[in-house]
Amino acid sequence: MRDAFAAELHEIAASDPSVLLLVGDIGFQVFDSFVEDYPGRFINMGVAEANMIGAAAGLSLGGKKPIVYTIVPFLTMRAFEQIRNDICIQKQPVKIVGVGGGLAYGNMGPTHHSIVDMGILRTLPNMTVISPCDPVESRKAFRATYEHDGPVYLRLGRNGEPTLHTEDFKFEIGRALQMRPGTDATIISTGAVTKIALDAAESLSADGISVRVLNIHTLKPIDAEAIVTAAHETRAMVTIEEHNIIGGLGSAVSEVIAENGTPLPFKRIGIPDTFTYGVGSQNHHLASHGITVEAVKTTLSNMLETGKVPVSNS
Amino acid sequence: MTTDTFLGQLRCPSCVLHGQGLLERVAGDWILCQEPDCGRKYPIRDGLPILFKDEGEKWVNVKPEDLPLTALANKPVVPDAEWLARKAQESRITILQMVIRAGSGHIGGAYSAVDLVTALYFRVMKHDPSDPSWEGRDRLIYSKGHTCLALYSALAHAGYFRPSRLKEFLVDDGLLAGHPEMGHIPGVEVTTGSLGHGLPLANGIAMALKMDGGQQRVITIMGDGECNEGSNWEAFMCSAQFGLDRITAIIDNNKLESLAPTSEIMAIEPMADKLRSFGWGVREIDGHNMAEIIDALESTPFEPGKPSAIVAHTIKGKGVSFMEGVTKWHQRGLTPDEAETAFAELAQGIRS
Repeated sequence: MRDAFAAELHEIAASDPSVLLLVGDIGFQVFDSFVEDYPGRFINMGVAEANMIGAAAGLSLGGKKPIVYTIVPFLTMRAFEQIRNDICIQKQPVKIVGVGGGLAYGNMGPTHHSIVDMGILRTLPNMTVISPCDPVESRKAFRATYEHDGPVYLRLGRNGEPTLHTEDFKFEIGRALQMRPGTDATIISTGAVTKIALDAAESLSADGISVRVLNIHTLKPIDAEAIVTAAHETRAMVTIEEHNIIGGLGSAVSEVIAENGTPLPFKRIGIPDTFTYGVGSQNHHLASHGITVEAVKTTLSNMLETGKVPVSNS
Repeated sequence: MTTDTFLGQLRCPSCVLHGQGLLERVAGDWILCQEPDCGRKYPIRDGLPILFKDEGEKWVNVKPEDLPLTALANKPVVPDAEWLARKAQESRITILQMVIRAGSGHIGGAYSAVDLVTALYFRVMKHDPSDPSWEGRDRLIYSKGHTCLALYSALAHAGYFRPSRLKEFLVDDGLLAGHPEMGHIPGVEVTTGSLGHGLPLANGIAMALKMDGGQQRVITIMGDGECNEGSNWEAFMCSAQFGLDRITAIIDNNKLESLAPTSEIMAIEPMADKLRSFGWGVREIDGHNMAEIIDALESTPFEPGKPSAIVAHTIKGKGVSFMEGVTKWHQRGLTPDEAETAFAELAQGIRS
């Protein structure tokens, strides 16, 4: 996703000289061609995120289009108040691009995991929150981010994620993408774990269960219509995300369901409100939190069979 | 000038035929007829009392504290230190009236900063109150947003909005909140209130201007207490690193924070040395000496290629004896007695 973003950024920067890239001393070699082709427009702001976000808002006030890039926790949490005051309150269209969403920096430890970013950022008025699922979507998402007239947080994974989209598609902020049709149950996903959703749906289809996969790449504004429709047309729903189950996709979807009179068996799959200690790769940690194809399958089958939500063991 | 002797010879034109019509000076530049049933008030303009009957009729039902603030001697093209000092003193009266009316306000830090703000808006900065978004303007990033009373007064008197709107401080649906809001108040460049945001914003604005070859200045006013905030130190490094020599950071070094002296909370001295070591050109001044203020603000950059810092030694609550250097006047309303004393002292400051 990171290289896809860098490639799209390079293309956009060619046609818009007001686009600047601010980094917090992160991105070794990732932006080499940007640095070479657009001298003076790559600005390493150092390991000083509060100043970086404030300065980005200042650059925006000065008519520039700053893209701010560093690792998610330092970007979104260290400088959260700058994002709120300098960017969101003042409605500055600064684009905040975070690398390492979720557990992408698995073995770097919990300081580098980002499991609350979507939750906190979606509470900010004027903010748009986007979490693409694969490299192709990342490119389109960044194009849309650039074109959007307002603050955007774009949550990227790391690099090397598989491409999940099998055909071309139109990316529209706030419009969910149905990755797979289905009539029995719905899996709503965001980010790279959409792969787990698709694999689970594929596997369940072998058991004769028809599962719709809805990719909510925009957490805010959320596509309530697609969620309500799925809640009407299928009999069980799970959300899956690489984020704390508090505040992220699962919370956002349940808000929609609760307020639209569309109750159905519903379960959030994600990080069960815990930090992730010790050493482990991204996949290792995902598995330890039950964010797996098997877990999704079991949960959904159980819900369809009983018409109820399985008792939580977390 | 309207001296007290001169005033003693004047009479209210509406009352002189049937009573004494003695006049008293109120609210700085108004005179009030003392006849019990009259209540007429006459303005003093350019030092001269305007004693026309219709002028008095106009203000008959207006309470003295509600009288509009006086627009005094016309501003010279380049006002000198004396004119500016007088203007700042008027601003202190304006601020006092706003705090009396609202029952609250960060008056101490407004009084430490008001001389600096006055010099900026009435002499130093290039700006156009009729066109607040004029591209060529110098930018004032008012980082110590809680002391916005000084900013509001300057903006109103400079012409960004009518001085009568100063009455809307802390009033529901009014113009002026307790911290300045960009987009809501004409002339306010950025929304501040949370400390430690102004200089990073100034850095970004200055970087953008520099990229476009602009010569506009970016000036920020921050507090010494505000320098507790780590973001400022990131920002000090940044301004120097990028050679933002159009930036001037004024540290309103009034030496008091909300609860105690800065030296007891998070000592910043030697501030000037710190800033020099961070790559800034630095000058220390008496932040209440208008000549020193002007000279410093008009001598930047102090060192070529470097951002400039003015460490302005000031007194919190400056201008009112019982507020000067007293912690509790960080934010506070005034009792009627306090208000009267403060008013008298400030008016005396104008007369003297």
